[in-house]
Amino acid sequence: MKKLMLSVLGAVVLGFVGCGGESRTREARGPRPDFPEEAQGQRFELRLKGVNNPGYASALVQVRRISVTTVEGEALPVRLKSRQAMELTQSEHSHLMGFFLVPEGVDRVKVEVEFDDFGGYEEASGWGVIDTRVAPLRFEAPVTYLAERGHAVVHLDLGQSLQAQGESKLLLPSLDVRY
Amino acid sequence: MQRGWKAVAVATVLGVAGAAGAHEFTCEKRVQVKGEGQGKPGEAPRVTKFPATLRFHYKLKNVHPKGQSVANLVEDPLLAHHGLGSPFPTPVALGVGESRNATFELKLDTPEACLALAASDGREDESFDSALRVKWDLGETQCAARVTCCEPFVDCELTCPPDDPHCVETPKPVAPGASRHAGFFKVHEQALQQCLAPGRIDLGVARVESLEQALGLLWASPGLDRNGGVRSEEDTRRFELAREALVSTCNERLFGTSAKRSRALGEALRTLRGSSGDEGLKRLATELRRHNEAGLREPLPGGFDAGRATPAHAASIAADPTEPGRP
Repeated sequence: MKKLMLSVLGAVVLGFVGCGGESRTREARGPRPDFPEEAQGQRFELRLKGVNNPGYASALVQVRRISVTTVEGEALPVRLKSRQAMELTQSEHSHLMGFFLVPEGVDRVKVEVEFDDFGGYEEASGWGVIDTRVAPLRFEAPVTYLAERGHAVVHLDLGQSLQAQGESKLLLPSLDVRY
Repeated sequence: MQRGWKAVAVATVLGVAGAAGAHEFTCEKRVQVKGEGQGKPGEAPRVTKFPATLRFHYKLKNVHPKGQSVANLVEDPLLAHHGLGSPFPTPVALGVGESRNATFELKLDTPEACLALAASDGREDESFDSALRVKWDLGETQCAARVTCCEPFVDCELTCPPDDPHCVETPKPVAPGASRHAGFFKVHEQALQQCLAPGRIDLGVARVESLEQALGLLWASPGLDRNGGVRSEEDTRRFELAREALVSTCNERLFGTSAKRSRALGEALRTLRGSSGDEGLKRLATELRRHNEAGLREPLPGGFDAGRATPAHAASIAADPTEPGRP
């Protein structure tokens, strides 16, 4: 019964997933599964979206690593999916950073996202590097929230987060986490 | 069947929470180093005198257009270890347009204490990045700030205590020649093209012959290969070393050689072209990265034209030159 309910919940979650990233159907049929067979748990997505764009024509960042742990620090299975730099000026697009599995009995997880060292921006008044050599972005996610739509979406406020640093912009994340 | 009802009940609760969770906050966080002025515009405040007092300013505002917003928990986790409880007693309810301010002061006695603080944020550098976290029903808002520690005896206003015979003041390093980091070459296609003009660069994991390949090494994910497969830990380190070796080669070719950087580059290339394990990969990448960033403040040689930055185009033509299965 429990397995049946999880399957139903999983199907509902799949119905609600955001835009962007690879198709789940294709992944399910693909030659390389995202997780080893023995990895168990409910699968969730981690996404990134740029919001409040003050006028950037382009704002590209790349993720180096994601990690998800229990509150006690036990590492949970993650699968990085973000192969290319993410264009945060695409306001309708939430980019898939990766998947993670949460086993039964875990009610809260810690999420950490580490950016690759540099990105780039373009705006009417200039162009240059986004310095993403910053501390990892961290938040805690209650599993009940994650289960609502099957994902956590980081809304990065471009107006607040990209601070002038000479000709570069320093990424100091100002964000909302939405579920 | 009982469990079925439980699931429905959970779904109902979530539905209600979703409808009721119309909280909207913005927050602002900034750091001031007392007695240091505002520093250079556009740069993070810098600690140069000790003892130093950091003053953290917080502002929390309800930006929901029609109703109050309630925060269940407000914290600055990295400063909790230094005595900061919640900057705002929680739960905190703010009416339409309402805001609250708070401050927290932290004293740092020595440059070492400042560097220890910087290391506590999860990144090995001299900057301390910390975030205010505002948690509300079905979401969280964050804002971050940075403060940077000086380097002892280089830009710290620090002298040896007269009663400490073991203290040695490190002489100021000689200004290095110009160099640029990976970010510069990532967005300046013209500079990267000039770097490739003398010929291909054999990095062991890839032979870089074209602008697209060079950009591929700079823009590709260190963690995933071009087919989306996960690189092993060793492959990721090898990839990152190859990236720094490419940047070092470009610095050498375009802006002149540096004996220390040349030596480190030689060792990195021998490691990349050999079949040794991951020993030394991280150390060499860190060393090359340091060399690549050493001359950032130095002007580029006269007559050198890097062209304008074109990150969107550069990313669009980048092609990872490394073979899947190999780093």
